[in-house]
Amino acid sequence: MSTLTAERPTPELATRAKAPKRRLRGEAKLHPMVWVFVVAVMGFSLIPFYWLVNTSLKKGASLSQGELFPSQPTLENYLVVFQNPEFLLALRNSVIIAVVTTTVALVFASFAAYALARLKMRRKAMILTLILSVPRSRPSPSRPRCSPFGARSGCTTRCSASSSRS
Amino acid sequence: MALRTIPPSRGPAKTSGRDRAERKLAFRMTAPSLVIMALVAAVPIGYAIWLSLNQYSVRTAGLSRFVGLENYINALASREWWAAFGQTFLFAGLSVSLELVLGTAMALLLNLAFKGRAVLRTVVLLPYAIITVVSAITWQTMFQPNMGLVTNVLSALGLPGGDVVWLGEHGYAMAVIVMADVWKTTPFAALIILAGLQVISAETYEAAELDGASKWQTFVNITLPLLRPAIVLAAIFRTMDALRVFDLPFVLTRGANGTESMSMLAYTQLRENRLVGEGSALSILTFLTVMVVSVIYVRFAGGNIRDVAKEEQ
Repeated sequence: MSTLTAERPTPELATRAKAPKRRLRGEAKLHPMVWVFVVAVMGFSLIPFYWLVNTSLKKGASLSQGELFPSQPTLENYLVVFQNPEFLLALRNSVIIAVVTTTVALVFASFAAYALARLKMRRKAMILTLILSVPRSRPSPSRPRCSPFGARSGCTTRCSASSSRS
Repeated sequence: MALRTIPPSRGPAKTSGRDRAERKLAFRMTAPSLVIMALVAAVPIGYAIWLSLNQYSVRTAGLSRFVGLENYINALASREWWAAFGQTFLFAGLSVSLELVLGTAMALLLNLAFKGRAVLRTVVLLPYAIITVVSAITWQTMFQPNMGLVTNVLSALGLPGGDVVWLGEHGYAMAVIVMADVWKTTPFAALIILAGLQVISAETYEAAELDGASKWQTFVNITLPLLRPAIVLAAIFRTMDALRVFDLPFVLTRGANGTESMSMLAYTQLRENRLVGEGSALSILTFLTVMVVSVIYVRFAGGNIRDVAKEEQ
């Protein structure tokens, strides 16, 4: 994601294009305000994440005391998780699903995307509308085909986890 | 619909052999995706439609009778459906507009060349990497009275809100749900907008600078119009996800205090009240609502994308 580059200058332009690019992206100008914004964005992203980590390091009574820093930090919760065979199974399943769905989606979607973007074809608008809307508007409760009553299958949380955005 | 398939300039010579071959190729390239989509999307939807046309016995498994559109009529006549409908749109409107504004600002920031940009890009993506259910629980504990991060900090600073039971009142609860959603998915909007930002060529900015345009003028007259397709795309994805919101209200409020969403209502009827027919009808109504909204968006965005494609050639 971070490797997205705006454009690849042709060799003879490379040296010339570099200088104005740097100037244009404005390195030193707006600094004070931009830095305030950088800090605000960082804080907004990190504070809930910090709270999550903070909670994960607590146990017992200190969980309900709302301390900003755990007074007796413990890694016990992590130990419990990694000793749980179900977690490793779930991790394996997630990896398999992620790899397979990403591969399938990328392979098939790149063909379709090329055709929709570059080739002439009939009913393009209809196909585009279908592709964009159907998968993202599927009714959620009918999607997870597991029973919330079957606690043994352990999929109660998966149902809710997968429903709004997969 | 929105896109005219044949550019008007191409004129009369449109059914040449080459065109036909191109169409054939295009069809072959899209067909596999359409087949997969039919299997994974259309089949479950078809099944849900069938379920919604029947009434199922709560007592005897497998006992059902065909009732036609009765479930839909009941749903559309119920106060719960329209309440959930309104709340879902309120949530989607608030969260998507915040996400687009913040996402654009974030994308502009991530596009600047400065030291630490790589760190910022990583940090900004963190919320998106956390499962929604987990982030919802985190937000819930942050706003818990007496023991949450936000409530404690607000009380310590003597600010209002420290002694509010945030999830116990409609307005406050909705604010927490919107915040949790904005926190999690703004990076997603920012990424799409950032990709759009990086396509804008440096020459355009050079020209603007030579003409003496101010930073603000450059932003309003160059960046924003050229970003429009990316912003519209982010808006489509975010709106459709927001209209199907389920996890956030499910974890944060369980739908209490008037925060029930359309998907949640369908889930409650289907799973908890075991009203399979009514629940399915509700989920089909949700689906249709989202479909209508998305078709409106694509119509609107389709023309826009076509204009941009034309300009490129």
